[in-house]
Amino acid sequence: MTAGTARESLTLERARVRKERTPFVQGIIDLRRNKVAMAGVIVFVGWLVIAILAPVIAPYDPVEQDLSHRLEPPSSTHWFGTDDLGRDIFSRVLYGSRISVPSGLIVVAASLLIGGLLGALAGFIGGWLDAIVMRAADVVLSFPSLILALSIAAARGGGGLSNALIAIVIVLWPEYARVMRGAVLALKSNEYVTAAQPIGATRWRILRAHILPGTQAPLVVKSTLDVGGAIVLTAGLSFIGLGAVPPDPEWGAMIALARSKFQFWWPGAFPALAMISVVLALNFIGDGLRDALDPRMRKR
Amino acid sequence: MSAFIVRRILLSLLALLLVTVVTFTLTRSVPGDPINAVVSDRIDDPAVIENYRRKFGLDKPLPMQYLYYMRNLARGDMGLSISTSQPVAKDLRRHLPATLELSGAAIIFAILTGLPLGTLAALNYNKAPDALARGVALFGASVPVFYLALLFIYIFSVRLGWFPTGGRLDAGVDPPPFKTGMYTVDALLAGDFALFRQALHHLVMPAVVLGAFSMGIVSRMVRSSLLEVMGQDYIRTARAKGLAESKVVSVHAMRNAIIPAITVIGLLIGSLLAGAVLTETTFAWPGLGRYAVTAATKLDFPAVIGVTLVSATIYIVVNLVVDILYSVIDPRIRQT
Repeated sequence: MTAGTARESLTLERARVRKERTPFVQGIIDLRRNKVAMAGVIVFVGWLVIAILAPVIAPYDPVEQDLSHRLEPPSSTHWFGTDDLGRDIFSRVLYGSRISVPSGLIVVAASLLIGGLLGALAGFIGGWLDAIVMRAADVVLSFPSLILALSIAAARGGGGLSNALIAIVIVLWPEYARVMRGAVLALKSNEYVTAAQPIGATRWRILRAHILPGTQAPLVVKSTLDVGGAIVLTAGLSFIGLGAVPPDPEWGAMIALARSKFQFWWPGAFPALAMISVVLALNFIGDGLRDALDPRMRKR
Repeated sequence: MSAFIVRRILLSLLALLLVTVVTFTLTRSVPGDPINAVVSDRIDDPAVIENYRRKFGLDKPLPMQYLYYMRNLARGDMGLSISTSQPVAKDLRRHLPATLELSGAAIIFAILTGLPLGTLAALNYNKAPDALARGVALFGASVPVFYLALLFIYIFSVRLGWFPTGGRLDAGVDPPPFKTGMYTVDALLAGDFALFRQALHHLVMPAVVLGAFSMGIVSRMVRSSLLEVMGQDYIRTARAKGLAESKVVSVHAMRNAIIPAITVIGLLIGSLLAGAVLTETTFAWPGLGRYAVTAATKLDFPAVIGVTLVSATIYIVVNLVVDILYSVIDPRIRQT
């Protein structure tokens, strides 16, 4: 073989490698064949659209009171009925998606960023940093999540959605740190990683180019499943009066209003159904992603 | 064996120590004067406040303050609560039994329903009962416990009138003589069966609501571990020697399948205590969770932090007990 053809085949080889999809991208593509997961995607995207278009779709102002039409059951004028202040529940549920859905996304994104970064550094650098980060994670995890979130929100001065969201991030980051650290540790001892060092890759490059891409799958699955959990947790804090403040149409706060009016089913049922549909959709997507991204599942 | 248990106990003590560091940090992050974290700001007797300022060393540097905090904790002093104007420790003791009764009943419900459901699912892998179990678990995991509580009240109290909407006993009824603080147990101990029935009648709905999520987890766990065990050689041997399938499952498979499910119960305690906050609030159940919520909305920090500390302690201790039990049942675990 001459030097020329060798070079040529090397270029061809590179081209082929570049064209080949990473397992992660392949997994996302495989997801399209999973009907349940796609149903989840449709519902979730639907909610995103509703959140964006709420002012256009909603027939009424979500905070406008109409005291002559209090607690009316669902009808053709008020599809989901009215609450104890005569507000239109359908409009409030639509507007609620603008609070609940972004809350879940923001909380999980922040937890992923903080926990992922700390976990990656803990696993990659090890030593005292690892010890400190993981002990901190352990101690947060030894509190029941809602109770710790409740006391953080209270210590930050009580009600208010931002206090609730900060509290939930403090409660959630350790799980991401653990998953990330585990993934980094598992990848760190691979030969292709140890081989990168003698050929001159810096530690930062090893972490960024050789280790972090391999941690995508578990973190993406976990975050997807957690957005639903974060929405429920935020709603839980609002339900007990430590999250969204009235008259904001947050789903948990809407259900809380129904607490004193439990003879009427509609003020609580519709925000709850909205929340359940989002949570189920995210569960379906998360489960689908897990099946698609786990190579052991793919072989079957 | 004992080395494992000693190490596990030491680790739990370390965790408890770190938990107090967190609660101490929380007491120092409350808005305004740190005295607010030990004496609520609505208690304005200067003598009481001065007494607590001295007792908690609030004029000393931070590390010293922590030592004072620990000393007071060791004496069972967590400050004064506004909601009741009582020492927090006393309030917690009064509310804890109600939460223990509710969580205990929820766990029992979760096991009594989750175990057969998971078994049924595993034995009918990918058939209708399996799908049913999956649906129940998914339902338990996706319906928020606070809405489930309202739904149950609407259906079973308002529409059907089968159960009371809340509380531990009917209005105006005196609780049984105090032994454990759990009304069902105390009523039985006092031999008062009518009162026992009434306490149980009040307990059923909150316990089912609180246990619904755990039931789903238990059934999934039992299903997957039973499926794994059923594929093993000794099960094939048991079948080959002509044992009835019921015997293979109940005697041979169940014993090994149940072990991993036990650890899950320890972890479920955390979600039960968190769920109790919402369940108790909805059912007007006077336990720790409802106490914490009332306290939090009134910014009664000593009480909130007290509940936080106690619930973390319960969580750590229960998991310690579960781990020790696990190591007794499954000797392999001790080597790791």
